[in-house]
Amino acid sequence: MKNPYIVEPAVITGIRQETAETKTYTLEFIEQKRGLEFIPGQFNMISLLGIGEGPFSITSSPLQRNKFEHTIRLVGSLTKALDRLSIGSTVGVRGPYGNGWPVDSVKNKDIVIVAGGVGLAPLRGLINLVAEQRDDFGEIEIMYGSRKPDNLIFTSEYGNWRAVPNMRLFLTVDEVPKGIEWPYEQGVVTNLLGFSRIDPSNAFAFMCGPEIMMRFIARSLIIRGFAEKNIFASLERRMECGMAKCGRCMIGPKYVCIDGPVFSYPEVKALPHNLLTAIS
Amino acid sequence: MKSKSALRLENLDILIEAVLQKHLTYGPLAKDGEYAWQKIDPKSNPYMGCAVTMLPAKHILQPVWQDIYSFKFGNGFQIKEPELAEKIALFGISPCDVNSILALDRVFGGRLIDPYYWKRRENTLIVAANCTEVAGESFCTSWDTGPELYSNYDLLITELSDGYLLEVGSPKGEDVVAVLNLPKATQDHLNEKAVRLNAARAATKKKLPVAPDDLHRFLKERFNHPAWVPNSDACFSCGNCTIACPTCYCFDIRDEVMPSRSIGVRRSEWDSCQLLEFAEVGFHANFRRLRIDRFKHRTIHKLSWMKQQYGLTGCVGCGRCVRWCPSWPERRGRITSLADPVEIVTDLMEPSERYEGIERPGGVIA
Amino acid sequence: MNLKKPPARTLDLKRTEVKLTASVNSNDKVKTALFKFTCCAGCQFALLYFFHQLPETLELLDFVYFKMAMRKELEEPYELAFVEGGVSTPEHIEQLKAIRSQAKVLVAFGACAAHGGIPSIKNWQTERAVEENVYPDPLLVSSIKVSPIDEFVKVDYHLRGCPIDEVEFMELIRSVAADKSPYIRGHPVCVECKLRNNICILLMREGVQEGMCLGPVTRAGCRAVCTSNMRACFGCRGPMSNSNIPEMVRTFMGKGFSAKDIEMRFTEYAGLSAEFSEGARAYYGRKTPYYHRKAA
Repeated sequence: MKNPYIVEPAVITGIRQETAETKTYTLEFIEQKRGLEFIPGQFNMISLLGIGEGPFSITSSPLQRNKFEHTIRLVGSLTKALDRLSIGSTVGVRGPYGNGWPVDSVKNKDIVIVAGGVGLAPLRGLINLVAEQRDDFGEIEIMYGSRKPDNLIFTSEYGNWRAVPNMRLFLTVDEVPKGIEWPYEQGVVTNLLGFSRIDPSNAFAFMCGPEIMMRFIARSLIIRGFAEKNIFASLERRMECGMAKCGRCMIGPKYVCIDGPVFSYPEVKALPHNLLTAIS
Repeated sequence: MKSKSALRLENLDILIEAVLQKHLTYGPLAKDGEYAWQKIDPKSNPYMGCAVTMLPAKHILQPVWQDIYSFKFGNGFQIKEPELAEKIALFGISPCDVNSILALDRVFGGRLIDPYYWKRRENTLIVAANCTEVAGESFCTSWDTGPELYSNYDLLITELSDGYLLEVGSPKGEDVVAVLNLPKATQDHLNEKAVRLNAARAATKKKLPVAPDDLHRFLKERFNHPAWVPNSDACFSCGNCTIACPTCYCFDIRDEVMPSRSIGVRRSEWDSCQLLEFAEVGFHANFRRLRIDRFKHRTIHKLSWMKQQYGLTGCVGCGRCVRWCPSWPERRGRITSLADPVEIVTDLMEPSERYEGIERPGGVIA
Repeated sequence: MNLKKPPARTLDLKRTEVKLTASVNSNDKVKTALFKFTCCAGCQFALLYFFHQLPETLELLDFVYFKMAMRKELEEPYELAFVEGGVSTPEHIEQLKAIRSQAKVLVAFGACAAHGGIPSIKNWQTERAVEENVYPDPLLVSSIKVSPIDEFVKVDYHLRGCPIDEVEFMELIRSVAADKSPYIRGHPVCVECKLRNNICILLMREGVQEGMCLGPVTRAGCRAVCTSNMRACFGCRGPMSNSNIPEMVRTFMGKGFSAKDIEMRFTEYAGLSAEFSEGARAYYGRKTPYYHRKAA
């Protein structure tokens, strides 16, 4: 019986600074034979022994097995300690956990991806998967909003994404500080939906970001004609075990760690506390 | 469970000694005027009645503090798992607590198995004791989790007018009693057991006013019932109801580094959904910041959601939450315990209008 | 008065090169100073006792000032400052601000520094009455109301309790050495008490000394030392993160405790906290406190 609490050592082989407080780490298991098989939207538990453990979504493409990436924002003790690590350091990894985006059911379908802030992280793997297997998917539109231009993550990849046929990227920020040139939109991310050219009747929508944002996005999407069952949201909760034992991530009868983190809109609607549905 | 052999037992001491030979044995012993699960020795006198102990027996299977593993820094890291091979016996565990262990089995089992719980569980001998009397707080008859245990035991004791009836439920139990050469029980003894347990059932006055199968619908309809408001206003959020609950399983994982700074342990500690910090994430965002949300979460999870998740009820009617809630019990003209599921359900059955105009610390319920 | 402006407080204890898991691997010791204001110095004394138990903890800290244990006069710089005791003279405020400007991490050390502690009982009377009680000639002294130190300076961490708890202290110094935030419990004493398989003394015992337990509203971290020994919790660690004071008062009233008892229990150690002062006044209301801190 393998102990699921045991972490496996992985080495940091690359660090890329995304914003002032966000970094993307490339990890490789020390035991080379073991790659990581995962679905975009799933997460790993990353440990710094002695500091703690936390859930972080896997942000690389699932086609790349031998190494994987995590995009991590500086929040608490653990992320602060991660921030101090350099290439060559070892961290503990176990996973992947969670259900991930319903990749199989969106084959040949159009997808609208809506993200806010660091919420683009769990969607990047999906975007890169689409870019690599372009023929398997329909049109893709990425609507991404952030607070300020320098809070946008994965900026180095926007060029690649725009170059992919039938993939469109729309950007917006809440505020533009003086002296910064910003050629894109300004305002809440909901406004970007107006640019969509996808026929909503048979399309899917994936979203991740602050819950208040997703609440308004869901409402707009439904008004635009998206079917409720085709809208998916990735939720955030505190997790410590990742396998429905510690009970922290429970929302009503659902565990975010095994039933989620990706939930369809009807599933979310059935949960108590009226998360995304309070206003719709 | 397969065919059971029923035996006569004159006194408990010989059985305790037989169990103690190979097992680290725990039982409900007197502590400060109440009962608590503690290690027993040949001289101790475990209580065979309905003991609403402070902590349930789950703390033996899933310890309050548990070393998940120890680790060592250096070039990379090494992890060392703890060894858990000790044979445990739960002596005199009540039917409700055995049922709660069945629920925990599903929580810690499933697709990803918690190895620590299961290693202990597999090495556990369950010496259950039927309740010939039921404590005033308990309502096990509502769930049929007591006072009689039907299966899932290794040995089962029932107190009779003279001596005990000992039923064997598994080969593990058979091994323990084989050396004792106990006489077979007669039909009279079995009849007396039925009479005594039926009397205990009849004496249990406390009952859940809604049928267990109907609870899911009942609570869903009343999720926004105003009765939640005055109830949760009186809640300390102290977590006693959850820590005392035999089916609560939540825990917290923390790392501790030893002063030598090269070794440490990753340790789990029981936690409670009633505490503010439980659901807190980065930047102090909290998805259950309000007391009422936490209060509802516990109650509904016990009564309905746990059944949805695991197919077994999260409440076994043991009455521990009722007994150990520190809030003053007198409210709205009744003597009730705030954490009592029966009382909460009773409140929820009342029409919403009855709660309008009740004064509360934050104002009046509109 | 010319006070130094506190520097920007980024907690970087010269641990830039970090390999694997922990800056705790660093061998630098944290320069530490321990100051005392209005209190009984019992927490310092307790600290000596911890060191007696765990000499290896001195591997983490290098004390530059610790009056009870060392002859050395204060020697700057220091990174970690423990401040014991509340503020009760104008000079204390000045000294406290100087400490803040020097220390990278400032820790309120014990109940008096965190909540005013026992000396704060005097805040519920006029200063004149207190002075007349103690000094033959009150005109010669000029005392002020006792305040916790975070009334005047920003406090990074609180080590509560009378005295402080050994495990919590160890957690704090290990965390400061590793530059992570320590695990300081926010939940009530009830949790730690129940985890130790104790019988509830609020429910089982009667009488002011035996059963008037503040456990359900008091912050844990003490390892339930009083209740494990069948003594009621007297709230030395101050209010928990989300305390329900009205219900605590109602529970005490229901058990028949007198107004005076309730007031005394709430004001014994942390009466200056917004929560406990609410408890002291909730039932009694005879006099309003002269000093009442707003909720943070």
